[in-house]
Amino acid sequence: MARGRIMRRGLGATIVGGLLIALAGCSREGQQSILNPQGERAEAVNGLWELMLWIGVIVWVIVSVVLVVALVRRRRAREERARNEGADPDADATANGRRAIWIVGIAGAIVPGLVIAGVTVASTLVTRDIDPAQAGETPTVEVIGHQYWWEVVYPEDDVVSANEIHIPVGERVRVEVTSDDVIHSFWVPELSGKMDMIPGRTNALWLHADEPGLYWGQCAEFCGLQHALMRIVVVAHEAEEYESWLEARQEPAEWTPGDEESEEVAFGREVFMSSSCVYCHTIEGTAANATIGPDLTHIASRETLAAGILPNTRGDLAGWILDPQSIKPGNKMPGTDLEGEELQALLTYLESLE
Amino acid sequence: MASGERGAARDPRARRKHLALAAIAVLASPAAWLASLWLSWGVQDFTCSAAASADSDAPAAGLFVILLVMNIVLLVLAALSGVVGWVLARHSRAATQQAESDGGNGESANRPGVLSFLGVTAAVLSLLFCYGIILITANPLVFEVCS
Amino acid sequence: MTSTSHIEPKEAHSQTWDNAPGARGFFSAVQHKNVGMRYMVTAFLLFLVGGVLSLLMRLQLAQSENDFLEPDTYNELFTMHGTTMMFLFAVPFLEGLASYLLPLMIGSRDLPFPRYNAFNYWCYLLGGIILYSSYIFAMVPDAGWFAYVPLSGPEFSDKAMDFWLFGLTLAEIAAVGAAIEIGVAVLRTRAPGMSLNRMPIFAWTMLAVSFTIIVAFIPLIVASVLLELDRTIGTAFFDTQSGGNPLLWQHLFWIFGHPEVYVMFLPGAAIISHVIPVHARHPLVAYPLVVVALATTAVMSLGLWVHHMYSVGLPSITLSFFTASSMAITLASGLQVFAWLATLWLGRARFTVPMMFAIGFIVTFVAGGITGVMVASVAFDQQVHDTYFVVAHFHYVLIGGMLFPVFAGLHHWWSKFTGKLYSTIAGHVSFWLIFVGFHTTFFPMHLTGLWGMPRRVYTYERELGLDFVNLLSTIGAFVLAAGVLVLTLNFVRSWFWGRPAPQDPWHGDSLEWVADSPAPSENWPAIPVVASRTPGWNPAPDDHPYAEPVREAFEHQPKEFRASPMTTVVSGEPDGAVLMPSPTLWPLVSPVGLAVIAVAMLTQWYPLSFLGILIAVVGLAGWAWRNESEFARNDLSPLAGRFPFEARGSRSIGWWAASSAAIVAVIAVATLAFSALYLQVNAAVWPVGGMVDNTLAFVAVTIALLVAAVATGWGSRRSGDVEWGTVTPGVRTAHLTTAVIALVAGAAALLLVCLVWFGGDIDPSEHAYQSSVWTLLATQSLVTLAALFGTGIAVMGRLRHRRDSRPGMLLRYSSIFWAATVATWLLTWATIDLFPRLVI
Repeated sequence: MARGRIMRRGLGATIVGGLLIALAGCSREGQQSILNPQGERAEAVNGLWELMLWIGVIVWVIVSVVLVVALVRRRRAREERARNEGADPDADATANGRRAIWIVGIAGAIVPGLVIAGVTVASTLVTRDIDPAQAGETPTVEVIGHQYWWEVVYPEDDVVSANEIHIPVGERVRVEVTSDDVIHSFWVPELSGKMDMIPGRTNALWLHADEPGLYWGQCAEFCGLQHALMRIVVVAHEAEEYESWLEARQEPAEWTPGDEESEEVAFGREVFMSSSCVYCHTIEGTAANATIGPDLTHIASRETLAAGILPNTRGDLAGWILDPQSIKPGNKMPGTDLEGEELQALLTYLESLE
Repeated sequence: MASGERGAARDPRARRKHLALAAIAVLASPAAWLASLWLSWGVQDFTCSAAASADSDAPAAGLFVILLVMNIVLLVLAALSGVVGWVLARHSRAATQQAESDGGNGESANRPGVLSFLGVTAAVLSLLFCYGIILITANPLVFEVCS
Repeated sequence: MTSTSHIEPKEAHSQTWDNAPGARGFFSAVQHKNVGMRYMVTAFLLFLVGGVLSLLMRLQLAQSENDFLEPDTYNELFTMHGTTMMFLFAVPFLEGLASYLLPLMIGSRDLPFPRYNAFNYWCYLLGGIILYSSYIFAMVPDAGWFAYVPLSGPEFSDKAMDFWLFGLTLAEIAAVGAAIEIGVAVLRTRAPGMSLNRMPIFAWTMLAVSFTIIVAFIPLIVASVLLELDRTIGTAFFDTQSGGNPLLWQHLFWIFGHPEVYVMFLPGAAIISHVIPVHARHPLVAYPLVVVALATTAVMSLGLWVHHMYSVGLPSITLSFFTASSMAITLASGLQVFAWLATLWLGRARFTVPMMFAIGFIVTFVAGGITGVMVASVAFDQQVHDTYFVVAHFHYVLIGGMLFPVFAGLHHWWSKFTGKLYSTIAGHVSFWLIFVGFHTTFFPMHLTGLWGMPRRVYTYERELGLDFVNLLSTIGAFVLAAGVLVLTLNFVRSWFWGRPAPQDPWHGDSLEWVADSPAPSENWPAIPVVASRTPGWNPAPDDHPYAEPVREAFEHQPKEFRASPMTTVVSGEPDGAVLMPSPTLWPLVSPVGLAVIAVAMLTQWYPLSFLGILIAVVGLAGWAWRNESEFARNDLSPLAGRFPFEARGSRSIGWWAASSAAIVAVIAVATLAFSALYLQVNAAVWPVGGMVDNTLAFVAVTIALLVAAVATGWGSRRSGDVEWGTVTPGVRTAHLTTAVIALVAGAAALLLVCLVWFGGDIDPSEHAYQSSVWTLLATQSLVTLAALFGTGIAVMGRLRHRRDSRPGMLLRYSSIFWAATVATWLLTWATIDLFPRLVI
């Protein structure tokens, strides 16, 4: 029986340990937690999760208690004898055997059957509520997966961007996702569950944010070497702010010619056009219109570089341009051999693309 | 009734018939459930995909009726197999008791024992798979077909 | 049980069961305990390797933005970890366990097809070697154990994935073969008196599992072949540009993949159903419900696969059908759990090492089952799919539901396997290290996933706030590993230096405890008769009606060759005998041929593949020749005058083999037909580039195949009622004539299929339709070739045997397979000619 005690203590320790971690969790969750829903879609799922968690905990505790009692309970001699007679080959044909069958059947199938039916109904209703068909009319955003970045298109407004989606708060924005190469999966946990991006197929979901803010997401389907570093950010704005953001994106970035800075910008633009950059990138209003890499028309206004990996600062941009392979090995961008003035001018130019 | 069953336990041809019936009853409800799931998925998914990929209208209303009727038929089939199993089990149990009171040794007594076991198995299988078919059947009532 | 009055026959009898000495004996052994032990040892070593891979991953993930490993190394590690654990450890280990234990549990002297068992082991071993040889060539598979296209396809993966595909296919061929072996063993070679209601739960489970494997593993083999064709000859099955579809891979993979989970869990549960009654000293409560539960699980596992595809963009109603099935299967697990709890409740538990693992199993598996219900919900799964929550969930059900039971089983049956005792203290230490280490590793992963960490990432950013939980998991992983190390050392020490174990240290209820520890090569010098569900506790009375005839026929005999009784499916009445093949090298030859073919494909030195084909064919032919030699040499008159070796129809064991082969062929072609139809309904245009519709040839093929099937069927019936050992000229002529008719008709059909295949100007790379047609015709040719081979064996048998019964049986087997070729051909015809006309 000493071992029984050890075992019970071990069980208890596991439960307590689990709870401790859970408690620690409430204060430690980071950028993209499912448990921190910020929009209708994620909130609906979170409600379902809480329901299932409680049911699950209760079931587990009941089973464990029954198990522990079954293991440690003392048995009287009479029952002992009955047990030995229970070794009858066709035990289930006896009255005792039949009673045991009924108990196992009720506890193991009939009660779970009712609980499971309830969970199924709850789950089905939430599934219906978050169906892509429940998206709003406008706007629609198209997101196209690439190894290892996201192309973002606003077809109604003729805007192309990358690695960053802007949406108005309070609206169910329809997002259509597909892929240009392998399968990726679009996932912004605080707003919505994931939807795979599959070549040759367009899938839909909708995003809804209650409050303005930044919501982080990440590719959730293994897509190759840099699957780990393929992040995306959703920026939710108030409606007017969103409109003005959209308007600004419809024109090429502008700068005032004449002053000293703009001269450097013009030189940087030349550097861009004469280097390998143009083979892959587009900058609206210039001759650069390749579509292999992300559109850079408004790169300076983005939050991040390299699909959510680097903050959009001058230093990080320089590091990325010179040696992207050391930051994100295996991505499709080759390093660039630029030095001193040319590099500074290029950076100034790119930073001007607001 | 009892004497008929007693006869069945003794007569090899009747016994074989009962065993075959019990085996069919055991296999019927799993087969019905598999058919229910595979056909519900296949009929719905293949028809809707074919229509979508050919840019034509999907026969959603017709599909809805097919799914419902098909699943109800399969449900009835699965339930019937359970009833058959239960009846066989009860009868063979009576026969076992008869055989034991006749002083039959272990082996001849176990023949109805197998039958009873198969009957009970068929009955419980039928309950589980009917439950499964009901969960499947409910779906077209909640979701639009070919949305 | 053993009578002492037969010293001499005893020795003569056991000598026929001995292996040859030396290296030849090693490679030629076919006995189930030899092969089963090899399976288990090989799989366990690979389990240790897979575990080391996971430790490396845990080191990399111990902190955020760690650079311990390169991204490509990490991707290789998780690919190989998953592949090793699923394909090379879990399933083969359990099949090895079944190989070893089943005959002991059901009172047989060997599995029904021992040479095939050896063949399967060699296939598995060579598959594993091919997969791991990728490390030598620095081309380690890195597209995940699920190998989603297009990432694993020709455009995005190098040769590494070919290693994966070939290694895996060989291992899966072995798995399907072992399933046939096990299924037939349980149905037909049980101890006299072991009716269905007295079968051990492990036997029930392996029967259910073998059904699942046969239905579900063939689609994976087919999928692997399709992917390999896409990669080598440029077919378009998964190429969206030409009518292919990446989702087809996912369907086929998960049609295999989900049942596989239950193929691992169900035997685990069965081990528990044996451990708990013995160590709680009470028979399993609610036995019929446990049988119902495991059968239900096996069947329902075939209808869950889409729940791995909740986020691929299928309509809600499609997903919801699979939520319904995923939820319903819970009830089956609930029944089993409460049956174990009730057994413990009514019994009196001994806290032995196996019992501790069983208890650890229950608390862990129930937790994994609960998260399983959660991920069965479409809405919730779309959040946690491909996150660490799912990683936590399936390690709870696989380590909790399969590994803990395997450890329980190893400790439970250790003395039966080795005849030695292990250190109980070390056993308890290993349990606690494993149990605590497991939960420290995987419980936090639920949170890691809920906090937003996707799977299969080599690193994660500090801002995600995941450092603490990941560090905890890493620490836990090493504790778990320490436990496995203690367990391994305990077993190794015991095996070589342990104290001898008594025959039945636990006072077990099932038949294997009645045998010696370890059992002699023939298992049962005298075949046991069973009259209860717990033959270890309630042996059959001496005056049991089967006792006398079985003793007369099988006690220490036959002496000159290996044999075991055959019993009826439902009642377990003895109705025949099986000739158990002796050791031979032949089953090793054709796996080597298959491996040579794989090497030829990997090195792209294609001439070598002809050598491989030659070796494989010679291996099969030599094997068949050797079989018939034994049937010719041995005196196979019915044992004791009443247990015939050669009876008609399903009373001969070969009938079951032929039927299984037929089922495998039909399922394989049905999978191809399903794939083509799936691509068709999802493609905008089908077919592209003209249809293959040669009605005249197609009708002719149908007729020719029907002729072959009917001719062989009729010919085999002619020998139906002959006495054993007779040769009737009329029967002999009928056999030879019908066999020759079948050979000619089959050859004509093969020729016509090949004419359409090559003469029809079909370019398999043009469009998925042409790819499908090309592959179906190729498969039909192979199936027809196999049927011709079978008929050839019947002719060979007829010419060599001096009696009618055996050749008649061989012809019968060949007719069963001809019927399968008719079915596969009709499926082929419908797919290439009928569906494109009927379906838009």
